[in-house]
Amino acid sequence: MTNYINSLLDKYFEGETTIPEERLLKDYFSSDEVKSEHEKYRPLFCGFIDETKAHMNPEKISFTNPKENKKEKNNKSNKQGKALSKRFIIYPAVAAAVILFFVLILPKESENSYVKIHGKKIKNTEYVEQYTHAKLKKVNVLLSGSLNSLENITKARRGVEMGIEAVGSIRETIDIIYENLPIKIIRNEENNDLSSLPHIGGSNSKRTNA
Amino acid sequence: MDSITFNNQILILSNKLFRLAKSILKNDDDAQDAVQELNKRLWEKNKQLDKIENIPAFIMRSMRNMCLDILKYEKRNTDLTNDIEYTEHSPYTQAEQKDMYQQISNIIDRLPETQRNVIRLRDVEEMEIEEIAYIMQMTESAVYTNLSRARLKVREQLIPRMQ
Repeated sequence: MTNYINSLLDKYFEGETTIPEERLLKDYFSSDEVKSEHEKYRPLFCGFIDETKAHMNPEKISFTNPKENKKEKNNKSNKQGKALSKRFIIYPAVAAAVILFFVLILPKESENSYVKIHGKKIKNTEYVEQYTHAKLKKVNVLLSGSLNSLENITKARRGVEMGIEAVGSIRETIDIIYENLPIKIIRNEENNDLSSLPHIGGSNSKRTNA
Repeated sequence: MDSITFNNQILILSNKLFRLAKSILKNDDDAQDAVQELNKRLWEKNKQLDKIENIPAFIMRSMRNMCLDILKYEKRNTDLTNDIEYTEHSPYTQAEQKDMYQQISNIIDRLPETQRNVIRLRDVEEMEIEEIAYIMQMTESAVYTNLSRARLKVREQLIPRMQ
């Protein structure tokens, strides 16, 4: 056994041992059966065994679940992002939209606008204004004529109303006359028919007598 | 690569990565930060990891490269070349090194970067010569040579203390 360990140690320091042989040496030097002549090598192999115990602080291996880390980051970034989005996304977007409206859309409208007169596209604004002005004048004249005719109608209506009033007063006077007559005459009020009235005078009375 | 596979294949190596990073950076906090940073970068490129054949070796190699970059950036690479020889402990430091682990660890820490990492990858992490060659970006024969030199140097420093 001692010779075998010695040969292994020689190989070991030459860098020619295999991993199983090196494990065997570690097992030997970590046991209680180490020979006194080999005792000087014990710290070396036990030192390697001790070094394998050196490890990361578990708290520092916080990367154990990248998804959770990502989620945490996302949550944080979402909260911050919501606050920042108004400032850094919405407002500039609105400003950009307004600028685009003035810069791109308005000029296009003015360039492409036209008026159709008698089926022809006319882009000359001065001509269109003059044409419109002339047409409006015509409309004004027509409207003023129709207003005169309306005035005539109202006048006629007033005349008719006055006539109706005069007829009403005539009837009232007739009624008064009838009431004051010495002879009572049955009056057909429904038809206002005066033909049934007796003729006042000699000739009529003579006829009735005959 | 989904999060479960990432946990099972990569985060499980965190302690190994930490020991390698600590071996290069010689500082627990820096090593932990480096491992976290590497894990973060690997997760960002997790889709590309499926194409890699030997993921543990690839990640160990990435860890080493990152640590060397850190040293380069911080200009702390005083002992990165193989030409630097072992310097004797000060009596004060020797008095502090009471336990076995610290003695061995301090001896290894004083080795040149290549030897230091080769001996740790082999004797602590128990990696194959082929994997070490890949991680250290050197030939397998160079690994054997560096491994032998490192072990002999450790023995030279250790035995006088034990006698």
